[in-house]
Amino acid sequence: MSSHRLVLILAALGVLVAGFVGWRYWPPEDPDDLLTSKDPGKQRQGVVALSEQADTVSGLERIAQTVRNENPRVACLGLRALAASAGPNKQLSPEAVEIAESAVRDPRKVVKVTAIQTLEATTPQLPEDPTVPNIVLKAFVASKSPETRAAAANALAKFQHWDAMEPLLDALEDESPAVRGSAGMAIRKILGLDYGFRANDPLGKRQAVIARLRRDWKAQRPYHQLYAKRVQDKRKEQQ
Amino acid sequence: MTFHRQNGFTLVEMMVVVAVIILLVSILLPSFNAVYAIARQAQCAKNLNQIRVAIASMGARNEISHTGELAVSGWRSQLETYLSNSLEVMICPEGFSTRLADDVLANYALRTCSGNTFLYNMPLAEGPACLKRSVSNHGQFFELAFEDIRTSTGDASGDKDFNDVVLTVQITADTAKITLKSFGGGYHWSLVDPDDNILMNDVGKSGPGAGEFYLVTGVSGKFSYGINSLLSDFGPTDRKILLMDYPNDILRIAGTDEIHDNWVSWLEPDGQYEFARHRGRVNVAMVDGSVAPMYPRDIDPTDLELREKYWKP
Repeated sequence: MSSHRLVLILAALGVLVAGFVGWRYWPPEDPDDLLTSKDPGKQRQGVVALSEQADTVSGLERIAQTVRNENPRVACLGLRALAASAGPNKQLSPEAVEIAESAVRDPRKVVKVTAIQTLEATTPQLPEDPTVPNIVLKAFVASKSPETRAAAANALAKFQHWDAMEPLLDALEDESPAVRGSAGMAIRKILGLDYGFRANDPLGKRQAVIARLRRDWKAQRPYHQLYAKRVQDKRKEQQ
Repeated sequence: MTFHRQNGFTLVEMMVVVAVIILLVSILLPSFNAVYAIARQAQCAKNLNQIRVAIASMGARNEISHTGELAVSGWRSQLETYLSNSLEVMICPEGFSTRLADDVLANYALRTCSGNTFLYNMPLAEGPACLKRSVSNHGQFFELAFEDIRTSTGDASGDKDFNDVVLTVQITADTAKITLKSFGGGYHWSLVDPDDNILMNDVGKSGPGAGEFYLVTGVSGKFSYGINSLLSDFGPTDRKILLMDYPNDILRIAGTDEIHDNWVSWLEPDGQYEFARHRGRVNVAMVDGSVAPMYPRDIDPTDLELREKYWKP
């Protein structure tokens, strides 16, 4: 083999080795840098990278720090990472629920709403454990922001949380149409019946429906319990 | 002894060259994929533009409803004649959603009245007042059995036997046949559509009896785009959303009809909107004729400012 061929082969092998080393050992971009990037593709990579750390204590702490980030957009991406960490079964670990719960108490409205949406997306319909529905119910009752209350009502609708009925009925008289609409939808879901409440109907018509709902709703508790048992039994069968 | 200079390459040389080529291709492949994705996005945008033109051809004042010019379940086939008799443009090359009969039927309901007094609607969906049973034929046949929760006096005296109204549902292709099976109790029931129009009045009493049926079309199938239910409220030059990549047939948003508002939650396992098919973006066709890829969060109607800007008439 002539010497120039040998040089060429060695050079090619060098390229191969360098390519492999680069591919294998090139340091990944830090999730924090990715999350603060303005490129949505990089933000997405950051969310995925952060969520992959969620099965370790230090990883969860890192997500918690991200959720507390002073930039609300980064904090929301941290919550997305938390949701992504739920994986295919879409359920959060108790530690992850604690992080989301602290975000629900965050003073920033956008973080609060995103945290509620995160809990909604990672908790099934009619969960046996009422921890998450109760966190959301607490936010629904305590918050004065229409956006937060509407997001919480949407989540309570998914959970079909019976204990939320009384506050939801009160919310039908809220001055915000968004809150009235979401509360009306939640009541429809919980009862499985549509009494005809529409947020934008004239006040008199709305009050008539509210009066009928207030008269009837407690009597429907046994049907809700039967339905909850059916759903939970079916879920166990599928598992 | 004679030495022959070898022409050509040795096996080792060839292997090294092939390996280098593979390495380079593997580096370049993601770039090719991105190029193809851009091509698919362009094709999707073209589809949306064709549908927009077809809608415009039908008339400037289209209305999406059961009684309007474009039907909730079937607006695509109504546009077929304006699309060279082909519905190929209704499928985005990047992906599609599958319409589920259960989701469509949940928008229909049994209206329950005591005498002439309206009590409530019972959706055709499993819930506290409705039991789905006798499921067979891979879910294509089932019964929906309703319990008339007797609450006109606030009294929970229902017998919980779920035999007060029983409907059978048979799904074939994209049609659901809803047949009245049996009735009991003292209330009056009517089958109503998503817009509350009565389809079968006072069933089992003064109206249709057991064995009578109603056909709901467009309950299943593949589709890629949703159409804005409020399009009749927009002017032709409004920069408002007309059509977009979406997992539901109809975009019912803008706070006019909270029972049907259906903006889909953004959370997928990777934190993306499930319908953002084009590298995290959706193609959006505006009423004014423009088509552009946009990030869902930039048009999210749950954000009040964006709702005002892109959705509200």
